Order: sequence, then C-alpha cells, then structure tokens
Amino acid sequence: MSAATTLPGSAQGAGALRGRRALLGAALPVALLLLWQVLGTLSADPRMPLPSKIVAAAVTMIADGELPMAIVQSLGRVFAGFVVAALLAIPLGLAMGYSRAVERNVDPLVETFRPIAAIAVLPLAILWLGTGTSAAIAIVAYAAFFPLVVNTVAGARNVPPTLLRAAATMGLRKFTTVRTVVVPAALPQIGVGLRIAMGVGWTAIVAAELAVGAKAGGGGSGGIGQMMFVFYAYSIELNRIIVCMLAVGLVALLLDRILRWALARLMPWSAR
Amino acid sequence: MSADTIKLRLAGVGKRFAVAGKPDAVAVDDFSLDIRQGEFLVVVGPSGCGKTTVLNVLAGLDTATAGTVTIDERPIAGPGPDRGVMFQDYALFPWQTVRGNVGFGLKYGPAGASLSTAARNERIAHTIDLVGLKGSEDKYPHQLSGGMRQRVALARLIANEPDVLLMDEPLAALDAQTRTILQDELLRVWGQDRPASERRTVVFITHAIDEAVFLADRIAVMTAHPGRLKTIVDNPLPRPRTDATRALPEFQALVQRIWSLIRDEAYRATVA
Repeated sequence: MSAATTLPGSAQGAGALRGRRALLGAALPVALLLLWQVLGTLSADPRMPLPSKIVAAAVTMIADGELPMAIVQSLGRVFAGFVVAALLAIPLGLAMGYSRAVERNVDPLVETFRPIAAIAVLPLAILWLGTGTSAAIAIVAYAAFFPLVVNTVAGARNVPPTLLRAAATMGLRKFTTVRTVVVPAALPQIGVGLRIAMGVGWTAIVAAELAVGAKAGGGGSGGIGQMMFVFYAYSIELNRIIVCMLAVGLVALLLDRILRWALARLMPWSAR
Repeated sequence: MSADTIKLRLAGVGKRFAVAGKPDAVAVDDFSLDIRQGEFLVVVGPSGCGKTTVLNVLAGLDTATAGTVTIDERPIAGPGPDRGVMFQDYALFPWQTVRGNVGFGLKYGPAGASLSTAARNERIAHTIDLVGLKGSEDKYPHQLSGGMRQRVALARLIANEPDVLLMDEPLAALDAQTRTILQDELLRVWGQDRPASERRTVVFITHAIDEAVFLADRIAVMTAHPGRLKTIVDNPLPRPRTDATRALPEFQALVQRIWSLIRDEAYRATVA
C-alpha cells in the first residue's frame, strides 16, 4: 500500500527505510530500559523492580497459570458487566435520542450520576452485593453504562432526517423505523460507545478488585486487581505488580482491536 | 375509475414560515390545483418558487398553514404508503445494498404485506432490471455513481407501487444521456402504453422545461415570492412519446411558450 507512494523500483529502498525508522523509534525505549536496569542494579534496594526481573516474573506467572487464570476471571466479569450495560444503555439511549420527551426526563438523571466515578459507588456495591463477583459485575456495568448511553443518544439524534422521512413515506411503523433506520444509522456512534465502554469497564474491574481485595483481606474473589493487591499488601513483590500492570494494558489493547474488528464486520457498508 | 376523477386536490393552500424578528416568510400562497387520477403532472418554476413545499405538503411531510389538501377526497394528515416520494437527495439507506434499498418498503412497510417472500423477491429483481441496475444488486450506495444512486431511488419508489408518485427533481443530477433514457423508462413505468385508467398519478418537479414537455399531461407553472400558481398549460403532444417526439416542431414550440412564461422571473432570480 505505502509502496504505491514511493518511486517505482525503490521498493527495496523503502523497506530499508522503514527498518531504519523502526530502529530509531525503538532506540529511546531500549535506552531507557537499559538505564533503568543499570541504575536499579547499582541501587542497593533489593525490592527495586528491574526489567530483567520483570521479564523473569512474567515468565513464571504465565508458566504456572496464575496470571492467565486471573485475567480470564477478570475478563469474565468485564464481559458480564459490559453485556448488562449494553442491554440497559443502548435501548435507553435509542429512546432518548429518538424522543425528545424521553430525553428531557431522563437526561438530568443520567448527567447527575455520570460524574460519580465507578469507584465511588463501590462502597454501596460491596455493602449490598458483598465482595464477590456480583459486586464486580455491577461496578463494570455502572462504569460502562454512561459512555454507552451518551454515544447512543448522539447517534440516534443525528440520524439524517431525510432517511426518517423516506421511512415515513413508505408507511413504516415507529418501532420498525427505530429498528431498521435509527439503529443502523446510529451504529457507528454506538460502536464508539462500545469501545469506550469496554476500556472503562476494564479500568473499573481492576480498581474494583483492588478495593474488594482490601476489604476481603486477601482471601477475596480473585481476578487481576485482586492479585495485584496481594502482591502489594502481603508478599510485596513490585516486579509482579508491574507484570500485572503491563498485562492490564496489553489486554485492553487486544480487547479494543477485537471490538474494532467485530464492528467493521458488522458494518460492511462503512468499509473504505 | 374514470380518467377525470380527482386524485389530489390542493385548495387555497398556503405555507408560511416563522422567521425570528421578521414578518413570516411566505413560501406558497393561495395555491389551488386538482390533479386527476392517472395524470402525469409536472410542476416547473424558478428556484425558490415553493415547488418542493407543494410536493412535501402532498406527501404529508409538511403541513399547510392555510387551505386544504386531500387525496381521494380525504384530508392528508401525514405521510403514507399510498404516496411514494422520490427525494432530491435520493435518501438511500447507506447500510442497505441496492437490493436492500429497492426492497426496503416491501420488507418493512405495508407495501409488501400481501406478497409472499418469493413474489417480493421477484418484484425486487424485476424492478432492479427495469432501471438497468442488474449486476449491481449487492453494491452499497457509496459504491455507486450519482446516476446509479438515482436509479436505485427510482427503483425503490416503483417497487412499492404507490398510487401516487411524488418526485422532486428526480433526474436533476444525471448526465444528458442517462437522463433521456430514464425519462423513457419513467413513462413506461408510469404506463403510457396502457389505457389512462391503468396509470398511476405522478406529480413531478423539475426546472428543465424540455423534460416537463416530454413527460407531462399538464404543466403547472409557478412564480416565486410568494410561490403561486401562475398558469396550467395543457400538453397536447400524442402518446406514447418517443425520441421522435423531441424532434416535433410542436415540442419546441411548447418549450418556447413555457420558457416565455417564466423567463423574466428566472432572469430576476438568477441576477438577484
């Protein structure tokens, strides 16, 4: 693709150039890692996390299945919370975007709760639902709900009026119009909401598991956040905490890529 | 039904728009016109004369602020599948293929309710064939040229087989050749080879006078500021009309006559 922008016959040159660019791009991170390794080794603190130790910790944690298990457990909760949020937020957002009356009534409520962070709702969730899986799912659902509602409303409100008029002249009922015109027209924006919601839900689960871990005192409900809490409060293993941090970031990246792929499959008409 | 039955009646129709801090803008004033069952009526006039407003009032997409509008002697209260509309901007659904767009009203509206799936598909295929889109059934609108999109919009209108076809400059964006071909097609679909009692009623807006003369039974000439009906010109050219019609001296004479009716105003509108 990018070869088309270079002169004919210079494909090899372009490849070499790209290789050189990648090398240059990697230079700074590699230098920083080396600096970290050297300075860390020079410091006398035995708990100082080091790149080499982090890699070793990651290998052990993956090999003994501890890390994959925790990630799968957290992912299950994110998925459940995400589905609950989608089932509530998308229909509500469509109703709000399609009907001014619904929006006028519901919007103040949504906008009042939206700034209240998921973590601030955690005390109530723990008191009502306990320190188990249901509290974690509730937190994810709460966090994912708002970006989904806001984006669905925006999508449903910006349906081109001429398409709604076309549907009306073909005699479509209101519900059919929502299903066959409003939903597909709003789908790109709903997709944006889903991607943000997935990211927010993943952030919320780590925070929730950390907090639930503090409350449950190590014998809690599992998951990656819980695991981080144990490394922090009991065994004090900084290298392992950093492995968990990296895992959280990489999983989030992967989730977003999967979601983007799925959305592109769902909307073949928006392909380039 | 006799050919002289009144299908649509506009009686003293006016449309004003409220403009903040100014007197109301008058789009259409005291517009009265009877449109006969099976008639091909073309409305011409300079831009800004309220042609589209008249069409929208007939479609039920706009409400008149004065006068009455009826179909089969019943007041028009809103859009309905008995009056199909072809919009100036085509209003195609970007997420539907050509087949999906053409079959949209049959599938989701009342137009196809009495048809079996097989009969529906047959009609969709036939209509696509009719407008010359065979082979493009699975393409999305963004993959089509402007002329092809216009054909899709035309096919969608025809497939629904509404009693009344309301068309807002449907051929305006086409090149001269495609336009000529589709004018022929349109007359065929409307039923110029059939007896008058079996034809549908068409209200067709254009600013191309030769198009009006080629298509119309009668031509309603409008003037602007405010939009009023200036006169109705009967078109005596025999049917079926073909390429030979365009070469008749009567054809040219009629074009000249209508042009002389709107020339002064068209100049004024262009210069202003």
